[in-house]
Amino acid sequence: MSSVNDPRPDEAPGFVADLFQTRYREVTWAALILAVFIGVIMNAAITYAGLKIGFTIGGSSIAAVVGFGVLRGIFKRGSIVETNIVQTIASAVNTSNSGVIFTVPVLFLIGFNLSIGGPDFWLITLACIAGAFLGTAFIIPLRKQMLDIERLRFPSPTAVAAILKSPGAGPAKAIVLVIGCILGAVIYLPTGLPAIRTAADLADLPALVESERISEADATRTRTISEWIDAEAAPPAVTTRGRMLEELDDAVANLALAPTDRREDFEWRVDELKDELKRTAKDVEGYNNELCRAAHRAATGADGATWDDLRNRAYGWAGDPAWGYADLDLRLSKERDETGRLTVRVDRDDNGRPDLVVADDRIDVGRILGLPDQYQLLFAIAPFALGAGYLTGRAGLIVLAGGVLAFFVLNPVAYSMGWVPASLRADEVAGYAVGAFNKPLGIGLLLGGAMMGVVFALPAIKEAVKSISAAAHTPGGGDELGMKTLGTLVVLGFVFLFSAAWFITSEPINLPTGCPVTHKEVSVDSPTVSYRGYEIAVVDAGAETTWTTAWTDAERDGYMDGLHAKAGWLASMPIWLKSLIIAIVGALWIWFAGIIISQCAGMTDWSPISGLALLTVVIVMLLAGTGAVVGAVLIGAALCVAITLAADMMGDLKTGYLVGAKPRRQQAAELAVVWIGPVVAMFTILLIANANLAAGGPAMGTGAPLGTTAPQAQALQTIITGMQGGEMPYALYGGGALLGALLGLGAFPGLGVLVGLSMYLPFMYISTYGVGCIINMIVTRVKGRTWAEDWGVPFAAGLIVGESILSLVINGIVLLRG
Amino acid sequence: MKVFALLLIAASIAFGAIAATTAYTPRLDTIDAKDGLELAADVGVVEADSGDPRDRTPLVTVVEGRTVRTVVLDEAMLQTLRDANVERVRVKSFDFARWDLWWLFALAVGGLLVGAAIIRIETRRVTAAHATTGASSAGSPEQHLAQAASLLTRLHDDLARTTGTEARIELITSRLEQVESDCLQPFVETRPMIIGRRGLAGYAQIMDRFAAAERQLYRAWSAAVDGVMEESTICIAEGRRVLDEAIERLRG
Repeated sequence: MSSVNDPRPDEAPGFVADLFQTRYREVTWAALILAVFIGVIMNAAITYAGLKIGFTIGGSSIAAVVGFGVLRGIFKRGSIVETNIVQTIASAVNTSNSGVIFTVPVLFLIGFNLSIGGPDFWLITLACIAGAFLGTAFIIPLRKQMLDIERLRFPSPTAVAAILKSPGAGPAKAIVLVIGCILGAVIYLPTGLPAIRTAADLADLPALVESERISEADATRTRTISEWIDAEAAPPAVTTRGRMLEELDDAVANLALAPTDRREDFEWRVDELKDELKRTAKDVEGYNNELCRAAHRAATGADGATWDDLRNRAYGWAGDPAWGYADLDLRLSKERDETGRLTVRVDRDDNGRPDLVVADDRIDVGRILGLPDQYQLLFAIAPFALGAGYLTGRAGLIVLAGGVLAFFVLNPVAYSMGWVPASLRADEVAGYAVGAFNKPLGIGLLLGGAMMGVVFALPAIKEAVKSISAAAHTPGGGDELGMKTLGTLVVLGFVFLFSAAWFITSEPINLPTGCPVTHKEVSVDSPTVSYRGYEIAVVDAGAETTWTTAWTDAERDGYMDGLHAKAGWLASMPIWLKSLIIAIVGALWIWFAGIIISQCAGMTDWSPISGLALLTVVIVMLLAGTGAVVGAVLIGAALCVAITLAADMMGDLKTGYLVGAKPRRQQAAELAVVWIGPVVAMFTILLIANANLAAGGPAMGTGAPLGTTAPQAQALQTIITGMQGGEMPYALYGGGALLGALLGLGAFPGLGVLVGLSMYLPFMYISTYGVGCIINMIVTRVKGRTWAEDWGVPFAAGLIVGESILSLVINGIVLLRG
Repeated sequence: MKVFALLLIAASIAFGAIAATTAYTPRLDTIDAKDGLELAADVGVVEADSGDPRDRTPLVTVVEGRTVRTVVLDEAMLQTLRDANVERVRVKSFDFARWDLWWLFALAVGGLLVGAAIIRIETRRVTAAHATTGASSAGSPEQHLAQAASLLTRLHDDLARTTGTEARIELITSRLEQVESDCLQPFVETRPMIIGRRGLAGYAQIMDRFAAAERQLYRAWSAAVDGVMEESTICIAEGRRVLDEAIERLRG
């Protein structure tokens, strides 16, 4: 390997020679291997964490810091642009996990099962890989338009560039960056620490209840479990349930291995146990299944289990959180009504104690100021939001305006006019409004604004594409990957997507529920009949005849309604045409959504992945029908992976721009590894699902033994079931889109994107972000623009990086401790 | 005029959003039992004896946790709600005929169109004024780029006279930082002026070259910090060359 200052001249022009240029270390084998290693580890760890805690971490800044440490600290040879390649590749491998975990676990939640031997697992993986290529290849031609022409700010990638440039920025700026990191970590520490919990001491329970760290029910349950441990006995209802759960595990295992002629016996036993468990659930209310199992094992001494094992948070023993801001115990003053009860203004949860004004993650300034309860002026204790706001500057005030519109105009008006359920209290309105109208309106505004942004940017996009095409004909091929390469990748991605859509569309929708006529198990190899645009598997020709001739339309409709399988717009088309249209719409949507998400990330640092994933699933279900859940999730997963990688690619290119990296090398490096991320994330999910099943729990969701509740996928599940129940507020999306498009006609085309995005994000982050914007404006006015850039940017970057790294460390500790 | 237009846009978007909010919340008297509408949210309220809002319960519970129960607005249900003086309910489906605030939404759409038109006229006027700004006047884009080119030429000359790697690194990094803050950033801020003269497509052509030059200078800076002087000097020369292309395009 060459040193940083390699005297060898560049080799003759050519793609590979240019990629591995030796004069100035950029793309090297050391960087590639290190980056893939970091990316794979982060991907698997963050997939697991995301399934448990509901959010993921981007990882560019972490990869940059680790890359620096390894390449410069250990190998003593890394360059700035080489470390940039490390963060580019590592984040490309890592980022796709957020797209996968938002969508794929939905299948487990609604009863589908994925296995390594089944086609669905591979088809979804293939679709995610297709999405990865499509998302990256689609967004690359827009680099010039977004970075060179629009010069979008991209706060986090700017922060990563500040880290990469720190060795040359002078010791004073490096110190400012480090101070920012330390301050970011110190401010975030009491916000993140309470996630680390230890099994509480009995003596501490009253204090924990008093400080609202645990509920009275938690304390009572903990005392009860302690009594069982002391007495070495638990109530018979608990141990009996534990025994039945273990028997159910055995019965399910036996069923899987049973010969065909004995299956009915085992099926009968499984159903009997399930019914009994359901019937007796009330007898053990407040105790989870794992506690019942543990009590049964302790009572029987199975596997060396003891009663002391019950002192475990997984079984419901109260957890004592590490110190957080809430422990400052800053509360509202006591205000009582005539009966002596604390008023709702100071005690919303009615627990007899005034509410906290400083919780672990927020400060309730609205209540300190005495604002009416429908105006919730909260500030998140989030250095990253402050830093992102500073880096965005004045333009970010529009984001603040969108938040103010939703939370200080729309919601209070809806409350005072009686447009929200009358049983809601003023302080509950914001929570209701987000789901009922803020989110659909906000997503609509975002889509309309983005559409207008694309229309107005067409001349610039045309020039950018022309420039890339022209550069491809110059010696050396220009700075970007040529349109031919990108076109080939797009075609390849599209073919993958079409193939996956075709397989899934041809797959019967009743595999989990069995034959409609005989109720017996069916497989992909069973004969099928078509109805309402769906394929339905039947056990044999006899069942097929019964379905087609003996059943009436009403019976068939009743069966389909039971599967929530309404006909889609493409129901009357042959499968190949339906798949082709779905693949074309999916690919176009990936292109458009990639632009939206890159614009959002570029202007604000936030990416509306959840909103776009939701819309993808809605679009596919409208086209293919509400019963096509696997197809909708498949395209949804492909899109989510695509848009996360589009935003990641553009962010990495922004960082690269600021450090002088060659876009073509970054693009080639990213495209070479994008397929790895979906594979790692899919295998991690499968591993976790199998581990959960092996432990006797559900594969995902509430009650999963590994605690992988998949909160984001649960949100998507709500949308899918809502769609099946006909609950999508299309008019709100449409109205929002019209307003967003018109908003873009005036001031600047992307206005609707900024306003829409902030209408449904939690206001506490918007407000802290707004503070960052205002600080930037004040500093610029007082100290001048150059000073604000020279000193403010490394400090703000430090705040973002400090919180990101500490968050990763804390989540790592939480996961390791189980 | 621009301030008025911005206020009009702000008010229109607020009123438009407020009106849209009622799309699924029709007045009870517009609902016909024959439509078989389903409720999408809890309705009504049963006040507690204590009068405390924490003790209230819904008259009709629809949402339980994540589950939405199917509650059809049949005649009996409508009568129950009328008896409880319920004015509006949230339903699952939209019908234009039931949307009583459509006129407010239409007004908002009109307001946005008028506001956008005023802003566009105003922007065109300002753009036309920018277009007449002379290329040689202070703060013009030409002047910023010319200054950048001259600084880079001086850097090239000074580098030839400077010996010692440390001194050369210091010279490159400090001068490039000066070029960035004194010339390139101010040039970026002249965007309205350039668009005024050349339109968005012309602006894009200029920025294409400008950004390529800027990226070369960033690379020169990084390479200098890494001690790779050969790459750094090549990039400075390349940056200077591409900057000339940007100047050429700016001249038209």
